[in-house]
Amino acid sequence: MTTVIAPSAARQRVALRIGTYVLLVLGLVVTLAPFAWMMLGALKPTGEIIADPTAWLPKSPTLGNFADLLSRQNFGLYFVNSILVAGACVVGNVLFCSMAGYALAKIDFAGQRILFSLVLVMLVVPGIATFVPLFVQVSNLGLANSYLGLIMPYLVTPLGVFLMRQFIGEIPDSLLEAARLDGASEVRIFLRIILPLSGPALATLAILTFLFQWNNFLWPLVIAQTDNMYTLPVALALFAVGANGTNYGLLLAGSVAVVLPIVTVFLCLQRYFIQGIASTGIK
Amino acid sequence: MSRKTVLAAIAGGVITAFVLTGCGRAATSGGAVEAGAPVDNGPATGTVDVWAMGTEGEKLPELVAKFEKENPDADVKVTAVPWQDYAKKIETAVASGSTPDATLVGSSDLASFVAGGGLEPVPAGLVDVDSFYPGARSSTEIDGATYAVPWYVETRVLFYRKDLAQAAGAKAPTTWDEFTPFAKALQAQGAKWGFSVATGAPYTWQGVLPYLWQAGAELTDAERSKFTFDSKQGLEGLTRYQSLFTDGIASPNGPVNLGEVEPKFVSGEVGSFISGPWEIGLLNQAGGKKFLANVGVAKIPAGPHANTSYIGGGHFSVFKDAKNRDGAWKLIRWLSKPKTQTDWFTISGDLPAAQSAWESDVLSADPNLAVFREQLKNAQNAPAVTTWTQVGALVDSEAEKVAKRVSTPQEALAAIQAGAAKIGTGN
Amino acid sequence: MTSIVANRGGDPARRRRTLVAWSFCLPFMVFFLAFGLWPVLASLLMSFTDIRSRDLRTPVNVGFVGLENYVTLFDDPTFVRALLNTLYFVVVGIPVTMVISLVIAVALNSGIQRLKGFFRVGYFAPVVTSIIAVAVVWRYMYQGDGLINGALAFVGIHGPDWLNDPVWAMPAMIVMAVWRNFGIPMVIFLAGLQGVAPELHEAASVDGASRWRSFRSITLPLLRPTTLVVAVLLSISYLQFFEEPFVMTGGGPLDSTISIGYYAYEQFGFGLYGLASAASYVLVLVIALLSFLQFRLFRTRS
Repeated sequence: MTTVIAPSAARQRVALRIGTYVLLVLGLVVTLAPFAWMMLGALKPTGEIIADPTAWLPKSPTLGNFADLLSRQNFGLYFVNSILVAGACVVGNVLFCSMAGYALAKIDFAGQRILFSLVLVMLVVPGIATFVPLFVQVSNLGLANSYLGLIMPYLVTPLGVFLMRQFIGEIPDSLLEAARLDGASEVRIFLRIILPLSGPALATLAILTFLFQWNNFLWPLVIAQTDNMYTLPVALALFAVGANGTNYGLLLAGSVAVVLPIVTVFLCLQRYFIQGIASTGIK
Repeated sequence: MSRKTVLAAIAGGVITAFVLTGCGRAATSGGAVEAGAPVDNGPATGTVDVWAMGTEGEKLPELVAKFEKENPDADVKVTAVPWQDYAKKIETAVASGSTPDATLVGSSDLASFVAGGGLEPVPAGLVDVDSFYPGARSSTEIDGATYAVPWYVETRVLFYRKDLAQAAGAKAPTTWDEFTPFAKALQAQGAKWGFSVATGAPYTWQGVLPYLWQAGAELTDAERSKFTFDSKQGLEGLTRYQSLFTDGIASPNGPVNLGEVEPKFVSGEVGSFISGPWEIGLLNQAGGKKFLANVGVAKIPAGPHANTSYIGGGHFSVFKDAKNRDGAWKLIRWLSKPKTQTDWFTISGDLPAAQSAWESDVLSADPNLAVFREQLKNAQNAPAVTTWTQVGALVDSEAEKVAKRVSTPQEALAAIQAGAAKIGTGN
Repeated sequence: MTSIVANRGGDPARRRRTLVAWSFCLPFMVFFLAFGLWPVLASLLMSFTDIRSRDLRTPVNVGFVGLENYVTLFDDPTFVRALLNTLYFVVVGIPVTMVISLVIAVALNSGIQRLKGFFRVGYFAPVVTSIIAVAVVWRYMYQGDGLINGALAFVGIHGPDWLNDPVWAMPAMIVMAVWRNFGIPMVIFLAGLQGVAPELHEAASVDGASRWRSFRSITLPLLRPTTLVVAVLLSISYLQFFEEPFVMTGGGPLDSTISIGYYAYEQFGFGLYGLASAASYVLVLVIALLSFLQFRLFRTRS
């Protein structure tokens, strides 16, 4: 900004900047309001929420809703289920997708292009399009209502392979060629060169997988039959539309239980989240 | 690799799959279903895996502890499944072969589970079927065989604000004609709505079909081979349902969730509604013991034909894939005993399906229960056809149109009839 | 496929590489074939049969019915409604999401330094939330006497009973979806905007072009590829519209929020697997068609 600016233009620029901040702050308040209302509501007894649904601050704050959630509603178990399923999918995706991503990015082999086109096509096929045959198949494997049934369909994802291929593709070939000339096997190259250099990509993939699985709904809804196999969103949804649909305090507490852990993880690792999402959109 | 090659490969795969699998339905053999093999009278052994829904699932362990005491070698494992979506859960469990030994089944859903092919017929001589309420018993008989043992029954009666009615000098209505002024009188005493009824939420049909029955409609022919919604009586019933909204007695945006109407009833926003025996407990929760003095309970107001109510309830069934089939049937035999049923009433408030259990002191003393007992004599279940889940959902959505005055009763009834005919009765 | 193998098959080094590469892909391929590719194909096959829940253990022992399921679908006014609703959700939801996210991305990219990271994190936060939890919370906020109508009353607007009103239930869900999703295009646009060289704008301002004009004639055209990506991503996610009606309305009032996904799930619940597969395949076709249209729209003009 070394150019000379006329005083009126400078004033205009300041006004514009103030306007931008006002817009951003207002927008942020609106964006965060539902979070605040949810958290505050979870601290209210149900009667208080019914009495004045527009109130913000709890008059007699209580942790009773959370205690109920744990003691009466088994949310501890759902929480463990959610962690187990998401965790297993993270391990599967990180391991298997990076292997396949390496082959697709750095080895020239027969069938490479058709495999990659299939991965690309599958990127846009939504889960809702295949849940029926998937259910038939997983059931016939005898895995309905089991952890394996919950996990297996998402153990690898086309998105995982896509991300890893794109990232590994940017690692300079010269590094690999040097190792190959030294007689290193592909396995050794993968373990000693590719994996150490892929740290940020693996972190991104791990986080996106965890996020997706934590919030996944349709598949666990279909394949989990009994209470002890529910993940948090399934439990919350069935709870919300069933007999407890008006137990507002408990439901808001349940929503907090689903949202708060992932938001906390997000706040700690936000760089990876945002980069991960942005990189899905950039070739 | 060109796009064409990919497409050709996919097309090739499709055709191969069809050829290889030899797609085609084998002829299914018809014929009478025989009762299950008899079960001996010895004590039960091994683990019995049972699914039970909702509150029943929460409280059942307390009851079966007694069974375990009487049968020391048996271990009953109760798994709770929410009522919401439970039908899909059972259907998928049957389909995928991951069933428990026995399950609680809502009486109106039994037929569709039988159609799924996963339930075993009740063993000959297991229980005396005539000891149960006829409305409950009839819903266990499908295509000439019995697939479940009735456990508890529920029927719907009218709950109203006694204090508002007294202030208006109105007494509980006994006919359709008396009901409308009654509800308006409650409104004159400050209730925003004189009555509350479901308008499209799942199971709305349980509130709508009684009007058709009260007008004298039969919903299927005698063989249950085709639906007969579109009768003069059916129309009269559905018209009656719509009049609740056109008269301004009930809100066209009726309750969606269980537990939604109670706070409104306590606050006086809603003057009356129709509900089942669990309601006393819910009202106690919502309004406290003192409030119960303001609650009046009466039989359903009668239409031109009768004062038919809905009868529902829970049956127990055993799965074909049961690992401990004998143990499961023994448990069910025990559960259907009048003594067990009386105990269950004290634990849960569920009404016994066995008629003789009502003679016990705990049941015969309660005046509210007397109303239910009277109403049970005139209560009907959904047609026991295997496609009822689907037809019921159709009735729900058409009833919503009637309530919101998007369809006339004629149009809605025609749509229900046409849709139900297309779905068929499965027979 | 044979042609390619024939071309290069003679090279032993390549054959070895192919073997190594496929071993690397093997674990992925096993799961990808079994739980990714095969179900897509099976879904299509099932949509031509009368498979029901009772056939689950003998899925090949079913009747071939041709296009009957598709005929049934388009004969059913509820399905047609579901299709239209889904399109409504997509066609209104996507542009609104894109405009809002672009405005915020531009504001964040306008040279402000203070709190930029803080804003970005705050605006992105809704993206990580579970739709189920969000739907539960918003269901209360949308009540007739709830928070949103309270806020509207503050500025003198008498809000409708959102979720009970056949006209307003869908806009209510769109607003919620925009809230939850705009963070994704925002960060993508932000990355795209950072790729626009500042010199271009400086040159334009020297030429006396207004900010608005330089935005329209320089920034927007450069963002076209980014816009395409955003549009495709959003349409895939918006077409799956299912959780919101599941929790908030059950598809009502008067079918005004029923979606293809919800319809397919309902048919699945009735045990009509063939019909459910056909309904979800219609969704696949819509996705394919929409992606194609978007490619045309954003490609040809550049």
